[in-house]
Amino acid sequence: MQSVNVLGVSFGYHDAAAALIRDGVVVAAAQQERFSRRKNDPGFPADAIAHCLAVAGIGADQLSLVAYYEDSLVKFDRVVSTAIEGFPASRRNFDETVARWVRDGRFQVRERLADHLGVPLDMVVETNHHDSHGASAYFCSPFDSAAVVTLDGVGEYETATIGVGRDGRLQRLGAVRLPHSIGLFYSAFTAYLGFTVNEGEYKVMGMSAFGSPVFKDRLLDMFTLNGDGTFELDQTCFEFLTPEEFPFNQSLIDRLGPARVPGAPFAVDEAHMPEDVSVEQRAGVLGDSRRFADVAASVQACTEEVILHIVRHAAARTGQTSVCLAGGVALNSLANGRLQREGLSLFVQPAAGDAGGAVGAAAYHWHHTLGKGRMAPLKSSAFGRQFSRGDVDKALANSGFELVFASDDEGEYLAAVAKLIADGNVVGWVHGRSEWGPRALGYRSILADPTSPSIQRRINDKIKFREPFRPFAPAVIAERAAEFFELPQPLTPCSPESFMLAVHPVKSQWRERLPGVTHADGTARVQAVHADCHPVFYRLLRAFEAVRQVPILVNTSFNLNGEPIVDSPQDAIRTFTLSGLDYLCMENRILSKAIIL
Amino acid sequence: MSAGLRIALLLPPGGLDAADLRQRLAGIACRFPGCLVDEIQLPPEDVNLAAYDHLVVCDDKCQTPLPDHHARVYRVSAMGRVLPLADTPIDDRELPSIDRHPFSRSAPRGQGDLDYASFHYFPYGYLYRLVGLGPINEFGHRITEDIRSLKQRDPRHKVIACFGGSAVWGVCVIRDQSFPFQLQEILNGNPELSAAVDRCTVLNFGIPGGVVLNAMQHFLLFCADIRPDIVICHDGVNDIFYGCTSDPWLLGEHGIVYQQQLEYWADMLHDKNFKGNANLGGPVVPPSGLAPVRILQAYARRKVEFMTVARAFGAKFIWGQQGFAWSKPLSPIERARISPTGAPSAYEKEFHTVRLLYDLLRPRLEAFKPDALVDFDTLFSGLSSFDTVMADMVHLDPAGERLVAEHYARAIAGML
Repeated sequence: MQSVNVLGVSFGYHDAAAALIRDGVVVAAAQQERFSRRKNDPGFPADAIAHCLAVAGIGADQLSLVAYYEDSLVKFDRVVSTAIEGFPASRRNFDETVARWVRDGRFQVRERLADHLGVPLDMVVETNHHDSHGASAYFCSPFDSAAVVTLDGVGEYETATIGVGRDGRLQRLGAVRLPHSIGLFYSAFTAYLGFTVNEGEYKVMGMSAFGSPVFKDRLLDMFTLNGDGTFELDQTCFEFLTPEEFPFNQSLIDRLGPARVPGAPFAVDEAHMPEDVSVEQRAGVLGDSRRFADVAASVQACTEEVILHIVRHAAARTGQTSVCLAGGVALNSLANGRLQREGLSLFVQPAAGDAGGAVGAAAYHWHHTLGKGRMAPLKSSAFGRQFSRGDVDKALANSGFELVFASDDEGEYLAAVAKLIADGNVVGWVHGRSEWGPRALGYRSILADPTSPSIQRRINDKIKFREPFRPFAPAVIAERAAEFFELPQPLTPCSPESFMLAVHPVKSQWRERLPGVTHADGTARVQAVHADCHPVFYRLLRAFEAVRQVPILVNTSFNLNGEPIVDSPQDAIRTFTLSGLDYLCMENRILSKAIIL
Repeated sequence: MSAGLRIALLLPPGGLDAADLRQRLAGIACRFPGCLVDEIQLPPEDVNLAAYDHLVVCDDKCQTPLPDHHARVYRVSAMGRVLPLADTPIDDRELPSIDRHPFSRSAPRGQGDLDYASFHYFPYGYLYRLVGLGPINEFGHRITEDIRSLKQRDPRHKVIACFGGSAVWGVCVIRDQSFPFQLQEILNGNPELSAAVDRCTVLNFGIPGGVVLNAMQHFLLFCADIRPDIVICHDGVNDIFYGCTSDPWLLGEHGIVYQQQLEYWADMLHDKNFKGNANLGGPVVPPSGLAPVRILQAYARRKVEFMTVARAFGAKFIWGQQGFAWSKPLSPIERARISPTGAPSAYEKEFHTVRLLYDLLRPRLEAFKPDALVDFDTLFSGLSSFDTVMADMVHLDPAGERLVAEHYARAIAGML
């Protein structure tokens, strides 16, 4: 029987990506940034598409359908209507938007895809943005039926939807429309706190642990939470429709004080004070940092309340206790942990943001247009590129570094890696296909000893060159995770913890013994590793346990601050060189930092 | 030639602080040796400006229209750089050798400030003409001696030839403050050297933007013939910085590192529609797909080759590893100089690459077995944030140049 292949594609705003569903199984998915090396690359994902076709071993002529992740003309209609509402203040923003749409060919999305692939135009279909999100969550989930909630900045007109997935169909029940947006609310504060919108939201999460939610009620007062699970957001402080420089305005500054200057030092106590802050500046830095941490904590707490409001109503309205969550806000792992503690069973697709729209668009049409049977649930995120041993050896030979280990004996290799880590080294780890989504899950990771008290600062300062307040996640073997972390529910391969998408408290007796992965508030963003889903990484954790007595590793993405996660062996070598990593462990080879001159 | 010239330095209404004034006066003295300078507060009341040969304004601070006068007007920067007023073409007053050869003769002379400091085509590499910080010769070197006369020197007359990029040239200081110039003063003032040495001449073959490959070219073209006693190769940053932007094949396979604007020249030669300015630096593109260590390998290979060549011509070789801003904890003054607005400095990524590759190289430097190793990256790491030596990310201020000269003087004292 001939295979049925559906290609999903997202691009044009941020996080361009492609994904391929073959006979109901996601066989390939990748973000364009992994190829272009441009973080959040929004451009046409030609490389990602080529990757998907190559993995499937097909040409474009064997595609049954090509699905774009949003409805571009409806989206433009929203751009026009919001511009009219905001005229004349919106004039400049509108002109720029139109110019960008023309330049980027966004009026001819279907034509571009058809031309690129050489397929008939009628084979290329568009999908409502939030339907793509919803489909990516529900159809990839293990649930037969579930409430489906999507939350992001904005799609066409909608910023959040409530729906239900049942019998392989997705049905929308309600929506929140622009300008009322929990995603844009969070992004506005991302900008206020000096981070890049659509990139720095997780830094706000990290910062929130250092503060108290003293402004929470004030922020929550901006929301009107409706009885049907929707909400409205008072726009007094925000500029979502006609943003000039920032998505917030003077009113927000009047209420909360001046915004944080990007890159400004951050320390809520002397112990965390960056070395380059002078003695005279320290009191000012402490005061500002505490205020910003309080704002971050308040934004996070407020966001969690709004999410809870939507999700609770969605669950009640649909009679479901299982919830599928998607959209950029679904990457808020603090909120996800809280939803789980509320008793909800959660599925979050690993690339819950716009990149995941590629999987979602393909999944939507797999079920709704082609009428095919229910897709297989997602238990792994390893949908990216894999490189042959020959590719790896060639790259290593050209690296200029000394190879200190090479063996086909996996046990020997994993024991050597585990020993290096236990000896205090921080290693780059490359194994198998690269992961799908923003989290490194043991395919392209930086690994270190979680029991080391100095490891967080070392990785932040010398390896990833990022803010000192940023936490690191633990990867732990699934069946032992409950020993170390307060998990609200049993783990399955489809749990958010498999994709590092939920934060839970570290058990009190382990907090001091796991300083490398315990955040300031005693929590950790847990990755549970299942033996049958990720066997080599699982065995590495076991090997580490043999030398350090805990089956846990610090697992952070293998990239430098502001860069995409590495993908190819060459990317890995480059990042290894340009960071303070001690060793590079790649497909049974270990490279040291000794250079060959 | 300029002795006795009368110069009016027109000070802004609020005046200048003492250090600023001192540096500007030093610049004027370097440009017009032996001149007489009167400091005149603007607006000039009861002063007959017509009595002066030249007027010099403080470039960024003169807002007052000047009365009619016949004198040529110059501007002096806080660095002490003296130039004609903006858009005034330079001529042989600024650069006596300007018409000496076609590659200087045909170069732009005053369409913008970059014409006073920019890359120009030259048969063997490029010519960099930086005008206004003191005398330079027809090849852009800060050398006023007749180099060829040094070939027949007395054995007790020692020649130290310095090679490298802008850090050797000294682009943030006037000529007399550059480390080669100060080194010569220190060596000639050192009584401990006198038994073996009558006199030292230190030649500054630094050329802004230069990499080791350029240093080797300049050595063979201009220096080998005089058999220098010591060669100082003071570099590192340019080779790594430009290594990030060089063609991966040329660098990886052949160790060829070059200034990115040279690719503009290729475009200009072969592309009829070329619209750029080939004399300007091109955009620095992100590091190529090449393994970064290959940049270090190319640098080390070339420098070892240079050491071999210099030794073949009888010179001892000092391996100088240039320091830069991220070699040391920055002082508040340095921080303000590098980033007046507090924003990240330009080319942050490339300098980050330099820092990391330096870290990899540092433990290997001794293995190259130079006659002396002076690692300023390490030496600067011993400075504190109370020490101010950097004028920007890469270049030194007068105090920094002095520090470098002192370290080299100590190394040389044991070699002569």
